[in-house]
Amino acid sequence: MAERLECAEARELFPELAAGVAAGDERARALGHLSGCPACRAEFAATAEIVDELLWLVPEHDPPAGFESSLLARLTPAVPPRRRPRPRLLWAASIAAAAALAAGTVWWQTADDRELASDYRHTLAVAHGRGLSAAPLLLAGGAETGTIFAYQGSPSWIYVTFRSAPPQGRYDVRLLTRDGRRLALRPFTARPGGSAWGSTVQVPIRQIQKLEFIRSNVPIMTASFG
Amino acid sequence: MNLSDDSLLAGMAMGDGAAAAAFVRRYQPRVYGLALTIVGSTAVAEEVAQEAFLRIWRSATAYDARRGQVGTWVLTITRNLAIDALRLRGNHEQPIEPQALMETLLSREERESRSTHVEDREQLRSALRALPPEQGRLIVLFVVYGLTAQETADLEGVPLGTAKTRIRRGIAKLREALGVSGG
Repeated sequence: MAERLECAEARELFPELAAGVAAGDERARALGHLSGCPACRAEFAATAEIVDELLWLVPEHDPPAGFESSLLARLTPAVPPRRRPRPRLLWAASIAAAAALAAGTVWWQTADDRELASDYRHTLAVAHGRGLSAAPLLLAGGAETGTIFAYQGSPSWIYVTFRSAPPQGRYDVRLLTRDGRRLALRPFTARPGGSAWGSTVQVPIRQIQKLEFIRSNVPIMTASFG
Repeated sequence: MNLSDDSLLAGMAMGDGAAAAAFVRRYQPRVYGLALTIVGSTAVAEEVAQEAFLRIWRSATAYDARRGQVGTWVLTITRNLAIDALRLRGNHEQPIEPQALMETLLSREERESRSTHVEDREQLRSALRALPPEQGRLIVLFVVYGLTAQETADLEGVPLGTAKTRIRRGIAKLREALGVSGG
């Protein structure tokens, strides 16, 4: 299993985790601890409540004239919103998010990443950690390069945070089940700055035996679920 | 229309234009206000606020009422998009002024009389005001601007460990003042 944190060490990470600014490796370790520690989940929920409430202290401000009408025109349900022109901002992060879990892609520490962190918070709260498992992702030499989280739900998903940057390049991702099936997941392309990868999975989480990141038919990184 | 947030969100998810309009009217001052506080530019704040509502609309079908207040979810989406907008530009158009941000948050809003949880927020405001200034500043930078502990430490000119301790102690005091226990 992934390196386990003591409660005191995990609790030091709670403010950053609650605010969605924890680094990928710290988030992974804290979530790993939370999944197995009910007392810390309660403690974390209390921290998150304060962090959330603080945002409500920011004062309201009326937007410029025309804001509402132009927005409502864009919210017209007749046309799917994703086909509409993007606004002027470079919403690269949004485009990446459109691929989302189903596409299996790399996340950056962006709005989408922070929302994903928030979703994990939510998952832990709803599932009381029961549906979440974690396993270390190891390089061929045995060094730990990241952590894999697997969530049993609808849909089920797996998510990898990298503690250190994985060797750059494109990886095929293969999931091995306990009954001997090999399932190909969406590939992963490691780029500078990339911190995570995720995918939905079509098998029960308890059926996952191993996950492999493969290049040139050689497993470069593997995780075993015991 | 005086429907709950959950009901309006459900209406949006079903493509109900009236529900979408009511939701936008209810939240646009808060969404725009938060975006403006973070990005400091009316033009960028307007883009952020529009994108936030579009994202909320796209996600409305997947919203799970068990995750808590709709408003908190709305504000979190807005904050995250505003932070991205700042970072995509490489720097803040206006320098971050922790003390000014604190004063903004500590000012009671007249229009809050329309909102729920007014007393809770006033209590939180009092608790924030009672914190040592160095703790309060770090906490609001951290929560509102989404700065990491390292970034807040750099901005305040203190070691990372000091920043983390101040944030953690400050949040603990706020929890104590509001009676939020860890179970």
